[in-house]
Amino acid sequence: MIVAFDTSSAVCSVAVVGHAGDGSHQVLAARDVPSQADQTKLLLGLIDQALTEVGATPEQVTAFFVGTGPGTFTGVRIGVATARALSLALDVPVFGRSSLDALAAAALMRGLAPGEGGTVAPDTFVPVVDARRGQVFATVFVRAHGSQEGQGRPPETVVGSHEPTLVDADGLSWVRLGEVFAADPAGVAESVDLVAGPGAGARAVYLGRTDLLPETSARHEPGEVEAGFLVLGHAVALPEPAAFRKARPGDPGTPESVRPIYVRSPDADVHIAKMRDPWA
Amino acid sequence: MSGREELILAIETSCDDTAAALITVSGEVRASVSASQDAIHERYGGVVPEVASRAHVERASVVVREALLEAGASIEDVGRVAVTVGPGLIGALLVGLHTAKAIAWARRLPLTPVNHLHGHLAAAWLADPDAPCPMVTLVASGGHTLLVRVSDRRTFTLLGQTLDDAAGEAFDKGARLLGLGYPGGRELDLLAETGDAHAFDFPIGLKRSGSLDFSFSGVKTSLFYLLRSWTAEERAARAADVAASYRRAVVEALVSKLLAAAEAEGVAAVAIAGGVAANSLLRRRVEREAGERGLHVVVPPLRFCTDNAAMIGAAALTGPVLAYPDYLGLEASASLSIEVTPGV
Ligand SMILES: [Zn+2]
Repeated sequence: MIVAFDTSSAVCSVAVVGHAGDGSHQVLAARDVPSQADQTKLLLGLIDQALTEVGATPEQVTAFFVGTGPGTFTGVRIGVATARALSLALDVPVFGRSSLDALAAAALMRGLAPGEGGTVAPDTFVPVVDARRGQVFATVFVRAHGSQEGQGRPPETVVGSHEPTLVDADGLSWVRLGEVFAADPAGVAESVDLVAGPGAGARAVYLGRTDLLPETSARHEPGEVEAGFLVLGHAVALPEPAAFRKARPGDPGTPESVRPIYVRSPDADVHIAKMRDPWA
Repeated sequence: MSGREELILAIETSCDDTAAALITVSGEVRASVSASQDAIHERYGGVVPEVASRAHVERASVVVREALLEAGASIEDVGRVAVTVGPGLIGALLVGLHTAKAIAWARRLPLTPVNHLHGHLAAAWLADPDAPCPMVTLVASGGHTLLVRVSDRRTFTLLGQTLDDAAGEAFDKGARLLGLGYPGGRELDLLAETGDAHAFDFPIGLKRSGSLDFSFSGVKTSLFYLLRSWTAEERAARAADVAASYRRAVVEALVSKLLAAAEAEGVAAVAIAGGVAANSLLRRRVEREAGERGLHVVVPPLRFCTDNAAMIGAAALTGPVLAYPDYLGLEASASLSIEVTPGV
């Protein structure tokens, strides 16, 4: 039994996921509560409720998954500190996953593409979360190969193909390109062009906090991906069911292997020189 | 538990030290581990909250595991968790709080939320289990300067506090003006040992006010104007005398008010606590002058004066015990008065 949670953004999201030996898995309980700065009050209570709902105890948990951001610095830390401590206390593995990857996976799982009515699967899609200071954090997924003619790229030409690959129910797959970036809303499409090639930004489908983006962006409304848009339990279920039985290569599952994704440096607002020499 | 004494796991992350300790219910410290962030904050010349919070996340699980190793214990030996919930840097506090709550929840253990200042007071009985109450304790650090009547191990009354800077802050700012290294208080103390403490007369805040409050903004401002009137060469040449005189003024305020409070309260014992209790002049003067007055004096070893988790465990011995699941929604508080016992 997996417990997954994410407190990095505006939803405190918890899921209990059951898994069978054949790699199949199902969401047994989920809690998604809008939160501002009250993840401290919410998180463990929601985990407790979800586990109680399925009649399980902490000793029955076989792994923890946590969204490691990006998002609010404090929210990211609450999730990571909790996940590390749970792993330590119960001696079970813990895995950190980018909250943006989780958002993308959750969206695919809910049928982002190809979608009802024969919508064409997007070549590029871009999960975004609020980064404050007038910016969003985003990352870029491009289609690795697919059934629609001319839209896919053969896997071997995909840059960074070791990055997480998402596969939807029809077997289409997308690969994450590059790192998470922070950009102002108007500059997001330009940033996507830089990562995925000219024009990609305009054709991309945006997910998550699309209300922060300019009206002109091709996008999915937040409502199209349920209110709890960072349902990590669902998210980890889709792209890597094998993770329930074994870690990714090189991912030891130890508490210290779970690292926050901050994107921004901690001292952006500190005037170091002034602090150091009062006579300067 | 197989006959072994139950352990309290204590966690402290209120400022810039990530600390974990294991203490028995009878008050014996089995392990006390602290990861100092001095080397990280040195480049900023002070504690940057976001930097401190990030370092706590990296280290919290590590210090807990190290404390278990040091005590030769396993997580199964832990019967209760204690954690600092304030006062302190909110982002820093949250890391320790979530670490503690998660461990307690996972193992269905009770949890004791601890006021950081009560931890400093408890350092007295960690150092001296027979320390008699009532006593008056001076808590002085980079964030706090207060005089407290400790009527018994859970009844605390604020007698006086700083109206502006904390004593540790005064030392750190003085050190920065003198161009000393980080952490400034320790560097200034070392330099002061080599200087003439009567070379300059710095003002002693609220000296004749009759109150038990402190003020350190005046002494800091005097230092600023003195040093500003000098060239860099003059500053360097007279730094030791300046440091010694400056330290004398700050310590004089601390010692005289501590002794005045002890007299006013009619107590038979005094103690010092907090990072400034590491100051060598303060330790010498309290030991000598309180001793001369026939007072029982508690000057804890340095490891219990600076922020540590053993003192949090010691304070938890007399604190409320919250059973699962009553602590799941527990929050941290950046400002928590010494007279507040969290969880009660
Ligand atoms: Zn302290």
